[in-house]
Amino acid sequence: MKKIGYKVYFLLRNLMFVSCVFVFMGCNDMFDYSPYDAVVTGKTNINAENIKKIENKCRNKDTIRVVFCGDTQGRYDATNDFVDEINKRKDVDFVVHLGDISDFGTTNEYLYQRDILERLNCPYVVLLGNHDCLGTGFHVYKKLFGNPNFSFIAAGIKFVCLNTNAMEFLNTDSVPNLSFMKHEVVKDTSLYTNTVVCMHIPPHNPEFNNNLDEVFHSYVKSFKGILFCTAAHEHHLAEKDVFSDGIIYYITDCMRRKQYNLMTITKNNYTYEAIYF
Amino acid sequence: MKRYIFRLILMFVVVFPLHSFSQQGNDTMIVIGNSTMKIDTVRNLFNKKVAMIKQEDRQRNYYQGIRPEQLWVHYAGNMGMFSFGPAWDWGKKRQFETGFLLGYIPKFSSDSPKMTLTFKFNYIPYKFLDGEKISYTPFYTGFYTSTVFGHEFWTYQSQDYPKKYYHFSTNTRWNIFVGQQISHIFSQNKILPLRRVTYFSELSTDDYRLRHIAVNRKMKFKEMFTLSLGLRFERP
Repeated sequence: MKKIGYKVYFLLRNLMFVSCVFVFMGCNDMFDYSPYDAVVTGKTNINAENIKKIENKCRNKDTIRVVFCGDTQGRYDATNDFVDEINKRKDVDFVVHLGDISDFGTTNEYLYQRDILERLNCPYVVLLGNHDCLGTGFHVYKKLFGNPNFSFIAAGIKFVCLNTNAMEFLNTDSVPNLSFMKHEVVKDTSLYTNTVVCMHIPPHNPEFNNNLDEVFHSYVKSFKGILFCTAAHEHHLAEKDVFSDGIIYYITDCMRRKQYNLMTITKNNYTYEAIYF
Repeated sequence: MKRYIFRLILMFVVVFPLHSFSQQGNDTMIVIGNSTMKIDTVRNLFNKKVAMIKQEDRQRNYYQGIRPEQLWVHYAGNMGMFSFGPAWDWGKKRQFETGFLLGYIPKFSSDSPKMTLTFKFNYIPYKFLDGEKISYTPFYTGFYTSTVFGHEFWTYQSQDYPKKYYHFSTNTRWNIFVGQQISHIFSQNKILPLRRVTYFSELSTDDYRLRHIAVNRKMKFKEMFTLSLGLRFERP
């Protein structure tokens, strides 16, 4: 009787061990070393890939419809609804996420939001927000999306995307990067007719480097056929003529209130729609 | 016991004769060798000496008491890839456990590897299936707080930000967990000085995740909780 008992005990123990191994193999992605462990899995270098897609998609078009959204900040439900909303309408060419993809800059937030945005039928690019720089967030951003300053040309319109989160890069980096802007002003001018400047923090905001606001704006003005600027960060919908010279800064609301801006851009002209869904 | 007897004799031989000169009364007297003394005095002195020896023993036991009872080794669970450290168990039924863990996070995509320090508290309410060789606890709970070190993390935001801009701390996470454990109990005559080895797994959530749970309705299980595995070694 005792022998049988031992056999059952060993069998159970081995079964338990094997099942444990299988269970834990199944939850491989549930092990977190730290919120800021920077373990990046899945698709990386997304902006560069999507820029290629955007450029191919918009090559023969003369009107493009671009969605600007921002400040998703850990609102997975709202972001999912946003993706469904954009997938429902077939007319959107691409989406520009204006930063603050995460709330605390944690690696998991980045990955979850990336997985949600990957469901979009159209390509998208993501800018760097101030919350995205917390902890190891900036390194994760660089791995996932690439350089925070980038530009691309879609249907003859140049989109210049800038890192303006000066507060997070005090004494470590030049933010906004004026030399990048200077370079972009003269680069490939024959390929486009108009420019749109995208950023996370607009000028004259306390988190912007306001020592450089005039210089920044002089570079913005020197872009060929500047149409408008667009930003997020302020968590309210706004349409501001920041420097009173006709260049409008369109500020998107946060994703919590389920809002995005739809811009229909043609040569030398654009129309603006603020949509709550 | 021998020691007590020896000290008692020493006391009678050395201390009592001195006292016998100064203390003479009507109370019961005791005769030791050539000298006599009050019975109360003898009793007092005896009690004092015993108390002293007891105090010494207690101190020795105290140093025995703060010697760590356990060594914990953790894998994952927001406290580093691997973390280990000493732990103590306490309480009437040894139902509480407290430990400090030092953890290590490799570099991965960031610019430098990081260290973590964790304070962990376990509460084991009961042991289901408590056998001689093996014991299984399907449920225990507790909390831990883990701090990650590095120049990019702060407890309070730096002075450069506008006041109360970031209302949270990036370096310290508060976690609560539930766990289960299986203990393997060793007999006395083993080569390794171990009384018990415990294998456990814990399901935990932290304040960041709780905030996300609060603002989102449709969260996946793997987004809400994180797993950790580990071992606890107990000394005899």
